[in-house]
Amino acid sequence: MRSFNLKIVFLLFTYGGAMLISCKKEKPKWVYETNDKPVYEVQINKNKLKSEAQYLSILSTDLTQLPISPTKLNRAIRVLESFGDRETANEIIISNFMNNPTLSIPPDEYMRQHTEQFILETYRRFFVRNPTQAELTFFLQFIESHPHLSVEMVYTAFASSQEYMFY
Amino acid sequence: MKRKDFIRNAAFLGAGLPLGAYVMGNDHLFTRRGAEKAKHVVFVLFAGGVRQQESVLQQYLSGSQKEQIEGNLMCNMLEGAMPDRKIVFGTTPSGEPEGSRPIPRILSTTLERQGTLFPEMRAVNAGHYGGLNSLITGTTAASQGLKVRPSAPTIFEYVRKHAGYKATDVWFIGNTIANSTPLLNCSAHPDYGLTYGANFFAPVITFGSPGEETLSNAKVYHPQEELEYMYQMKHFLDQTFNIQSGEVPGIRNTPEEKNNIKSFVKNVFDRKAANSISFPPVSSNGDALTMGYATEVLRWFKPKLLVANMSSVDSCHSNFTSYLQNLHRADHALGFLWNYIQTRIPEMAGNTILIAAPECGRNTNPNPIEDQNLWKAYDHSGGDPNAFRIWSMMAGPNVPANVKIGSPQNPVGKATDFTLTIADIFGIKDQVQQQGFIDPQARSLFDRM
Repeated sequence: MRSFNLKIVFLLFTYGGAMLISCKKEKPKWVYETNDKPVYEVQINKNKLKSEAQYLSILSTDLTQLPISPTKLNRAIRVLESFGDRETANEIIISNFMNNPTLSIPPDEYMRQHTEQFILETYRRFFVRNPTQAELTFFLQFIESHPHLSVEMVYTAFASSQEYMFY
Repeated sequence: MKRKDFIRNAAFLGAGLPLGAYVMGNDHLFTRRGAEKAKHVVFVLFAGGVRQQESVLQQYLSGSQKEQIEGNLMCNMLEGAMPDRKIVFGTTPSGEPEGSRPIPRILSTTLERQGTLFPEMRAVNAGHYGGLNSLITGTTAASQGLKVRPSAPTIFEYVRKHAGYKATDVWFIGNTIANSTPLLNCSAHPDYGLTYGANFFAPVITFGSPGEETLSNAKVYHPQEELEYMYQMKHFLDQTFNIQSGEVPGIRNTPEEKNNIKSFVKNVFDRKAANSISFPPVSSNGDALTMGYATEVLRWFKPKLLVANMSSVDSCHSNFTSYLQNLHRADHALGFLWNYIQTRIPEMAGNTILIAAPECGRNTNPNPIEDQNLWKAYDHSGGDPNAFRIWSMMAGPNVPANVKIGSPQNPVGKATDFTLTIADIFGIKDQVQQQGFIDPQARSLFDRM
């Protein structure tokens, strides 16, 4: 009886050991990769007014894709301070940029042929966010119903808007 | 109540509420205005700190440098002969001593003859910003801080709110963007503020080389074919944004006024390029240039109220000769401005009242700084009664001619009188007084005559 029990114990140990060291089916290893993707919000959450320097630097970059020189920036800040109506001053400065040879904006044909993409890009360029569906619809309809509208006019509206003055 | 009656009453109520709100929010629709004394006011802040001794008292060097030479440096404003020796305040002809030729008088009749002079008034503040505040708010500005807007409403806001003038009817022309000057075009008062502020330029910046680079190449868009659509899009964007916290800086002009300002800016740059802007014949300092550009604003907008600031005389802190030169030029610039209004702007000639006054005086005793003529310089400080002595000049319709009110022994008038005086000219003196901000001792200068 005793030797029978020892046999059972021996067999259990042997079986257990074999289970531990025996070959196993290898599980596939999944490697997840990500692509770089800018994240844009849709909601508007801007409540800090840009300083004159911030506004002018960002405006220059958005319209010419070039940074403004410190000397020009300093002069432009002084001009903004010398003007009582900030919105009107902004509009004149934007218009001055529109006559600048370094201006870098898409052609009007692009706006006409890829209107939705143009609106998305414009919101991202100026407001760093995606448009809401209502905003997208408004601009789709507005651009389509105004055949003489130019990119310059759309960009001027965005760059002179109140949202563009805040971050 | 029948359904039909209910709908009719609701419609009447719905239409009436916005109208009521509009009327309640616009005091000029609600209260009766007094009679106007003139259609336009030009108020020149003859600022920077002017001593009575070299201005109205015509003491030239005898009141400051212990040299017994007297005479009048302000030949457009005041009656009196110029000094006959040691003339340093004029222009410098080739080969002659510096400043030895006085600038010829512009006005054939002095402002003293044309109007009323208050030769001895009292300032309420011996500092520039506090002094300027008292001139345009009518308050003692006792607790007014630097680098913040006036705490009490300014005359700009009073005339816009209570007389109903639009933004381009009311202008403040500053000679600089330093010393908080751009903040003077409106107060921080919640019932007034930016909504009723004046348009502002510091033209030596706006139209000088910084403005040339930043603004002069701007387009003026077609109002219907371009601008209207831009504003429709902007309006949509602004409505979507609907800012709750913070406020867009700067005063508000209507789209038509904005377009007018843009056209004006372009016109000034065009006229500057064509050398067509009228500056005072001697335009060798910032005050003269500021007055030249002020005439452009007057010519274009024909504003109801224009306030222009000068301050070059403040060089007196370190150079007495320069102070004398700048005082002479400030008088020259003022004479030019008044002459321009009377001869070149028919809409304003004969119906504009000119007011000029310094914001503060300067000290009795000099500081130790000597200039090229070994003359001592003068500061202005709160402990010196001489720094509180000022004067004022008025001319135009309903201003008695050739009248002098007050004397060194009998001071008449305070720096806080000017806000009420301008309100009086536009027929809103009672409304302004009723707001309760004005110095209780202030009176319209017309009431002191």
